[in-house]
Amino acid sequence: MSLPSNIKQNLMPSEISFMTENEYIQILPRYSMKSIQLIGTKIPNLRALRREKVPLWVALILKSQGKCNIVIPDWLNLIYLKARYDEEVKFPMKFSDLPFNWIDLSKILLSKAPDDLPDPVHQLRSIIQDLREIRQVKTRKGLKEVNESNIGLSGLSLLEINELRPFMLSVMNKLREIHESVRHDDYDDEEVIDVDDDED
Amino acid sequence: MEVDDILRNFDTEVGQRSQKPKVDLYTSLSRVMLNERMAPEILPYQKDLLDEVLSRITNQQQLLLDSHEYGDVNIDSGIITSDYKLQLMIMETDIERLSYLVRLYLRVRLSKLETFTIHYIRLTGERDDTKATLLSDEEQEYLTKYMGLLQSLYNNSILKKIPRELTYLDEVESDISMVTTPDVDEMVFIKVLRDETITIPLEDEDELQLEKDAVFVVKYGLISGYLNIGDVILI
Amino acid sequence: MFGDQANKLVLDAHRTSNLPEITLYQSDLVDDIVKETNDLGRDVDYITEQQRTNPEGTSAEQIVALECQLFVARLSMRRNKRCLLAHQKLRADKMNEFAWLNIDPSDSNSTPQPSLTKTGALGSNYTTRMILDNLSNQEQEYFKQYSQLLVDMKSKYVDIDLSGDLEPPTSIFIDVRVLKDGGEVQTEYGVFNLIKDSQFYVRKSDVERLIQQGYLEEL
Repeated sequence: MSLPSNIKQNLMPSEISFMTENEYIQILPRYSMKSIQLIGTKIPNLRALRREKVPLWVALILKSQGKCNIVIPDWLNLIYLKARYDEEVKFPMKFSDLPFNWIDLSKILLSKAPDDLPDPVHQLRSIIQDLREIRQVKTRKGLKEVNESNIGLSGLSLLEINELRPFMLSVMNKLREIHESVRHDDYDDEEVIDVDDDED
Repeated sequence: MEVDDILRNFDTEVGQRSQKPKVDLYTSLSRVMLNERMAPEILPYQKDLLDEVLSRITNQQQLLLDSHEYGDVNIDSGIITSDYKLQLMIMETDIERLSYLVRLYLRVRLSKLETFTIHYIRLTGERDDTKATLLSDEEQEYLTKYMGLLQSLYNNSILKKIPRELTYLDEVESDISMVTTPDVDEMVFIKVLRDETITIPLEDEDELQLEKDAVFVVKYGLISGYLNIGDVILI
Repeated sequence: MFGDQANKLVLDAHRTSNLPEITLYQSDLVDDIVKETNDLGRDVDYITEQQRTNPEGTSAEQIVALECQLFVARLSMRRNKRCLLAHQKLRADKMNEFAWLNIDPSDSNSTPQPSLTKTGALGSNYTTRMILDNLSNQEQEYFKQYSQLLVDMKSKYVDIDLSGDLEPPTSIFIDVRVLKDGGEVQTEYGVFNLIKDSQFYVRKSDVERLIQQGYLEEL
């Protein structure tokens, strides 16, 4: 096969980071830099201390070279995340409102832009871990609702979904097989009855 | 800021305002790649997007080469600052990132052609409109040639050594066809993009309500129509 | 029992499908199955000929017995064929995997293949080793032609390197620190000097060897 089997129908964590890096983020340039015409986008002229939006991967390059600070999204701070955690506790049937890529985005920012964060890294890391765990517990409970035709996972981030994928696919495909074989039997029964009717 | 910069900024700002909100190239290419990756069957080749991306990659690569040359020639003049180098590095990264997405997209498609070779030979041979949109010219040629290779491998190592009545590759035996086809009932993970809720009828008069931004695991066959018009994406 | 040999072949195929290499082509087993299939084919011909030339000379019971025999023979033949094809397809798939790596197969067991350094996206069951002697003649021919098919396909997409890395390019440029003094290093992005404790932002592929040799460390 021209493609490794572990790439089929599953995402590697590095791919999820890659996609997150394509999202736009605000930066605060520390120096001026002329605009760059890229293939899919244009990096505007940068002027010191004038906020601009650029793809995260560009922001990370500029940041690593000391050319900018990253403007941390308004949900990545202790107060906000603590409030989401309390919500998770209070509403056991619902996931709190967090961005689709909150886990990987915070992971990237915690490691690549620690000095831009509003709160100490270790405290942020710990509240993020708490949030992840409480949501994992909920997901496991929710999986009891799995059936053979569909299941809703709204509110989960891509990374959380991807972690569930291998398990869910195998369970749901098994259920599907059972469901189909049962239906097939029903069908066969009906046929037999039809034949009997004809003979009568 | 220089005058031409101001003008250029003005141009893009006006351009952005007059157009309806458009997804950028990265987003559309990532979506197209992921859809292809997660769908059990091959999806129509995204010709316009791929033509656009491939030609832009070629142009940008040329520009990068030229800029390096320009840098080498002017190395002692003081024009070449560390910023200049950094800009080229950003350009190169951009090229690599997009090339990777295109590469993965094409590789996924080739692997489907290799898995369901006979099925796609039949499908693209049947109807002209399928042929025109399902595969690119390059893929169509690859498929035909690959079929030829496989056929002669089968012939030389097996089929010509066994009785003639067995030499067909597409017979159906005890209800099981020899031709492997994509399983459209496979479960896929979807995300809903359309603003208005999509209602999908299920068995036993049930229905499935897909609201915007919702994430579901469903049978591929149930949503493949919405996938093709971009109302849902696979994740 | 008809089909036993074929079953062996399928089990063998199943067992080897997850190995990172292609095992020796089982030509004896394949030949046995081919022979069994041809024997069955002759049985079928004989029985049908009998039925045709001498339809009255057989009792109803005999006819049923012959029909049964025919049925079993035909089924076994088809099963054998499918097992042979499945086995061959699986080996073809593994040859395809290997072909995408762009490395030469080795001629025999005596020359071990260098282990691949970049296997991040490949997974443990990807075919990364192939010994040419393990392939049948037909397979060697197939591999040659498939490799040519890839070369042709790649030449249509020169800018994106179709057989390139499937791991996302997350760090093309990296910060490095010089660990020990060395000479001048020439790259597309200019020259830098290996002076202990200095730092540079460089293309990763340009300095991979210097990192291995201990001149640089990635920060």
